[in-house]
Amino acid sequence: MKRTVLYDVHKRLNAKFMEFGGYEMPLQYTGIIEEHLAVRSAAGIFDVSHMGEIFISGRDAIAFCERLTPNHVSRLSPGQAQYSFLLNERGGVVDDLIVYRMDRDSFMLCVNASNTDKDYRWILSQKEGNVVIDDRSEQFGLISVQGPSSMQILSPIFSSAPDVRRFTFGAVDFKGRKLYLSRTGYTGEDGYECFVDSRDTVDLWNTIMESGSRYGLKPVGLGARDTLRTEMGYPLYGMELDDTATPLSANLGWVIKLDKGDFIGRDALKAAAGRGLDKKLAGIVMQGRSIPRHKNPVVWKDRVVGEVTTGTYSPSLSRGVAMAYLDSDVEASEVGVDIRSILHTGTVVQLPFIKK
Amino acid sequence: MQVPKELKYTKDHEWARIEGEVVTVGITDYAQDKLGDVVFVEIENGGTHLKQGDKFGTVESVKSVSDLFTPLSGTVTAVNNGIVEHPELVNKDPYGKAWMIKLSAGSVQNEMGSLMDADAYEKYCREAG
Repeated sequence: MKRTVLYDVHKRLNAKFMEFGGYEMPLQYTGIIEEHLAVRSAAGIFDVSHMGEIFISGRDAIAFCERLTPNHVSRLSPGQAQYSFLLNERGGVVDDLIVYRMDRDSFMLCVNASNTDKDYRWILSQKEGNVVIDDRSEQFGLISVQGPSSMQILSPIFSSAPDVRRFTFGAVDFKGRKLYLSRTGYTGEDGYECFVDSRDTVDLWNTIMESGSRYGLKPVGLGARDTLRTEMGYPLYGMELDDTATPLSANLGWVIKLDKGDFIGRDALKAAAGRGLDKKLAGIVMQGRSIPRHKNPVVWKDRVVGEVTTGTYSPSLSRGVAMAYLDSDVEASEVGVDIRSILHTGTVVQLPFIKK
Repeated sequence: MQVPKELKYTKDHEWARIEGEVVTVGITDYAQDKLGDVVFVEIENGGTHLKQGDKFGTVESVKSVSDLFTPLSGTVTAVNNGIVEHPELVNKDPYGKAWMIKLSAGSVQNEMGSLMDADAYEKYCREAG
């Protein structure tokens, strides 16, 4: 199993570890609920160095990225970022990612750890024109700082932190070395992600921890990262998204710019949009104490109408919650979730589970 | 890690306190630590007779689901509803307020061989990491 450069730091912080995307990553430090609530009320620091960074550059980079991803790449100025996908010809999701426009002819795709190799091969197989495709994942550490106090914590380290607007990023100085500071995240809170040279990653972590100590900053593991993103209804690749699920069913149609010109998967998605969706991602809040889990069947009027993709405990709601693809003819305000062969009642809600 | 001397332990990390014919059952400090924040406890089979190793319930943390197995045979005479209302007690007081069931056990002597004493259990946990 691979480890990030922060492994020893996590070990010293008494982290419990889990396997994720081929990496041995911190699941939690002091406890998932405490870490989750710290991010909602103050701030948390996450090691997400396992994520991949694939660079696409060259004279035809913009045309290539427009074909490769369904969002409007050419509307990005250098220093701007957008959520997008790699799609296959059937409109299924190869990966979900963030596209960063580094300069006129250079883009960085930040991709899921578990998909980095697959994405790289996919991009190579689609290569057109004068472009260079470079997987630089090993060169970067990635530290995420999330929560309402993020800006106060990072401002003493990076004076430009307040000026970095949501979904923008910039090169900033850290002890004479350059890193990319981005106002992005996966928690629903204000926050930043620092793409930092792997050699400087431990130093940056320690510097942020020190700056954050008086703001209640806590190290946060992937356990709370998952409950935080679930409360916001954000999809996780492998749960809500995969090679067969279209982004349209996951309420992510806003990312897909069907009119922008040709891109991989466009014809399939256009046809799917014309036909109407047979499934739609919904939220379920359990009425009792039971906790829905991945793959639990969802039942309405004695019929199985879907399956839980993500099921967990929401620390903010103190309830079990689930995301599930439900047949689009379901007009229920209540459904049953089959947990260990017993039906438990849940309320169907619009995502996200908590409004920010 | 706390491992009270007077208790007996299973490989699945349940403990049993044996007082005459009354056996109290819960999960160990090691188990609650491995699970993390416990957010749900379900006890089944109140009033029924359980054979050693039968499932009597489920404990869930934010991230995981684990079955509970009885360390000894017996009839369930009491269920701790307090932990159903307050699952976090399993983390805070696994050998005290977070007991799970009480059994009326017959002769448990022939079943004791498969349980560990505190020293053996501590060694077992250390080896598991």
